[in-house]
Amino acid sequence: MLLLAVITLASCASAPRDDAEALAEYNKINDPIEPTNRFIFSFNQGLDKGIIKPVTSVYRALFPDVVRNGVHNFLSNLKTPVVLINDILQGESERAGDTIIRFAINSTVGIAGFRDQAADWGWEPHDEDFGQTLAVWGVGEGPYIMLPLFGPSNPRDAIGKVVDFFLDPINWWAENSDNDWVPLTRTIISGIDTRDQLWDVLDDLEKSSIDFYAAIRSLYRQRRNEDISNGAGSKNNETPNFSDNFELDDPNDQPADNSTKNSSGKKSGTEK
Amino acid sequence: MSTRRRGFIAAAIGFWVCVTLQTPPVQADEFTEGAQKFISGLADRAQTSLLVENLPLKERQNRFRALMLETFDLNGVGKWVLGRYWRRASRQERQQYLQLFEEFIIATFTKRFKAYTNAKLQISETTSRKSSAFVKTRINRTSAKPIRIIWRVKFTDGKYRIIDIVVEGVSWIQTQRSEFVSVIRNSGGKVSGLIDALNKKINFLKSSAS
Repeated sequence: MLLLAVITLASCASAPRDDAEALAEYNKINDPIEPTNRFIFSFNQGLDKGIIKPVTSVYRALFPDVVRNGVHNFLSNLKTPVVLINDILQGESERAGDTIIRFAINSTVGIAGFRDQAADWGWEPHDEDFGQTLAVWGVGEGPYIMLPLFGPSNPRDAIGKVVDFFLDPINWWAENSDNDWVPLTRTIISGIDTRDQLWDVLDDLEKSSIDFYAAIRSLYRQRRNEDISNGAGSKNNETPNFSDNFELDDPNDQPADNSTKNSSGKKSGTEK
Repeated sequence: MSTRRRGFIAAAIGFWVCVTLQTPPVQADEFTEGAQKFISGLADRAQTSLLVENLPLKERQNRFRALMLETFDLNGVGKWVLGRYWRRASRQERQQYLQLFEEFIIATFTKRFKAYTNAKLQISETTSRKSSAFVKTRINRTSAKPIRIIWRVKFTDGKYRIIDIVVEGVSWIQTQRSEFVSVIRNSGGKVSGLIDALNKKINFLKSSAS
């Protein structure tokens, strides 16, 4: 832990001071400990290639889609109490109602959650967690951090994860009845299930990206914003507004070696 | 409309009332209507010209390329993705970059398209803001949740062109920009670093294409 702190401090990339545009870019990337994060990212990738991916591929080979979807549904159903608490904390009464009805249907007709019958009947699933609740309450995400094993995060979402663990009645029960194997087993199976769900996406992204780390970082943020806004599209997550950043047809975009003139009127300052 | 059934919650206990909350009529102007037709036309064309059985791989790749060049504003997107570095690039770098960008996008999309060969695109609605139209669609899958895709379309010089694809809230051009900017930053702010990386990637994609 101390070692990590030392690396973190030592690798703090300093913010550019005299270049407004570079500073804006630095703030937008919001990844002050990028070298450390990249180090942890490659550690995670090693872990994935060495253990997680091989285990998941065995899981995929052993069980057909139907079974794996069933497991996924079962795990989602187990998360219901946490989702419900966060629905309520966010004042989302309609979604809280959805969550209750879904739980009632799927735990019974859906055979302990293995079948998502509620979705077929029109109550579609949604996810909530305490990180999202904090965001709704106005807490900023803070700088990007890559957690060992758990992957992309930020202080807000990391705290959210811990709070969610303690909000979960299944964990209370396990704690009080000395059934520590339950949360552990559940975490492992959830990990395999998550990797399984992301199988194609990660495969595609890794093959087609020229900076996998940066792609994951962008993807994580955009997904979180989408989840926080419940899919309605938040302000900081719309498809980019061209005119605010760079006109698609900027009349002043002379090449650097052709003219010193740069596009003026940018709020973010001048070029070097 | 997925939220349609939300209204049922109150009435759900006891009896089933058949209420359909109707979507308020969208101001269907010429632009949004045209954009929607453009996307559904694109989906149809992909079905009829690309998903032909026994089509030789080379021919399918050629058709895919032609379709992309015709329907995407790859130059405009390429410039935007480079952001402030576009202004720093030399004339030669710009030319090189735009050409590589085109190759890169076509190569990656060709790969992606293969994964959705049997999927059917279902258009739900189209809205517009400023000079862009947003065509909202879904891809329904048999064993998993449907995927939400928004196609951002602009209209210039008498033609519709795709300028962004937003999959489940993730903007394609936004992601591409963060990635490219990161590569440039890590090569000392030089666009040439990105050009090298793109070259390598394209070669890799071509060699692994099957």
